[in-house]
Amino acid sequence: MPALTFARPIARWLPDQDGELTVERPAKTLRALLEAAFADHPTLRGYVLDERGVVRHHVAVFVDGVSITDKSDLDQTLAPEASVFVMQALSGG
Amino acid sequence: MAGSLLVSTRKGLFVMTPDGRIERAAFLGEPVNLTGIDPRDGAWYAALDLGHFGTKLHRSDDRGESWAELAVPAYPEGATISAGDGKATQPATLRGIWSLAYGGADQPGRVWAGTVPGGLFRSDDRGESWQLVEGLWDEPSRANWFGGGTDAPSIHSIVVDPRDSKRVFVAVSCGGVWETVDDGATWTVRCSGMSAAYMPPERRDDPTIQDPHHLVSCPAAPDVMWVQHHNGIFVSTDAARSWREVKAEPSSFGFGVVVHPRDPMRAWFVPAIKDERRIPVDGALVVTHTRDGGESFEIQREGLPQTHAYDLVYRHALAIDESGDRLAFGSTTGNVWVTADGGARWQAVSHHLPPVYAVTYA
Repeated sequence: MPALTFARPIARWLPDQDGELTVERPAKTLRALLEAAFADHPTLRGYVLDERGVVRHHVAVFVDGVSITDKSDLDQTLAPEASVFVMQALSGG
Repeated sequence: MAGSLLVSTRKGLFVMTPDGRIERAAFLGEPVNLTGIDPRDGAWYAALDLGHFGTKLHRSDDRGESWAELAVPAYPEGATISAGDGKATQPATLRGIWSLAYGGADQPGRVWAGTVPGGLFRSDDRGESWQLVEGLWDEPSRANWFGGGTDAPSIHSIVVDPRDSKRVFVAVSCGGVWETVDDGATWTVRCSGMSAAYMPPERRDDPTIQDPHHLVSCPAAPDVMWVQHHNGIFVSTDAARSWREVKAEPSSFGFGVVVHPRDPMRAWFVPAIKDERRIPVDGALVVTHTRDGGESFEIQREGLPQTHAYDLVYRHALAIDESGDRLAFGSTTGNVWVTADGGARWQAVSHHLPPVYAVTYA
């Protein structure tokens, strides 16, 4: 089933989480998989999405190794064994 | 006046003696993100990032007594910024000059400029005019690049082979290390051996998304190259054909790297904890130094604060002079340290400069 992994720099904002966090759910779309993950870990919603439900500017979402290109469109269909990776865009210093 | 130390900061450029006494300031109050010195004619170049008013470039032919504004690189009509991490495609406009390098004696007037958002430019008239290096800009994999440290990709390192001016290496955050052997007409990515832990597993070995924070080569042995990468330290002994990861304690994460001008096995780094915690390990500021190509590292602490230090050293803010004995670095907290003995003893020369973006010897 589809799996969603939050990279360590995002997952570390969960208490007691050490390293990246992977959630597996039988979701059909990217939005459904994210919502399922946020249901388990509501803290993470605000780290990944802004108040309008758009992926934050400095957060990147890859589906099977390919970055999504429209951060406001999360309705893309996932393959049965899709691998979704949510990471921070590299920034700062 | 030989051996000046140029400290580029958020609020001006400070010209110091090698032991850290400020002799002169320029552009006071303005962000100077980089200063470069052309070793052929002694010209100083200063890149300013004026925020409201854009990126500017100035040149001094009298060691900083006076400055003249030059043209800046301009992206052509229709050029767009790549967006490998999903940021929306945008028109490409100059957002910053992040590296400057100079051609060989056979290319008088040649200056290379690496920019945000990912374009390499060249000038053949000492910065009076600029041309986009289309061979790299048109490289299809540029669509994979994305910003690291900046919103859009940055070319922050340019290495011209001292044996062959037409052979040039650049490093891109995040777009890998690239080589041209034909003066910029064609380019090949050179990241074999690098890996990027920040990417999804199927993309970690992709050469075109690597994040080399800084690339340097040894002037006396240019086939030896060092990269401080987002995920560690890499060294190559075959001119970037292959890279080997080496491990330093207390951390292999950082931004800057310098190599000794004659001994390619000697390199220095200023580490932070890791990418998402960019402060010194245990609040103790250290420099790491290898004498054996990364097989082992010594930790230099003498003269550096060992409690509650939160200095971060940017990629251009660590420098070594021609002797290989003098080094200097400046931090985001406005501190500057120098050494005259390869780092056995460091000395603080300022604790209250603006945040330091870059240091270089002139």
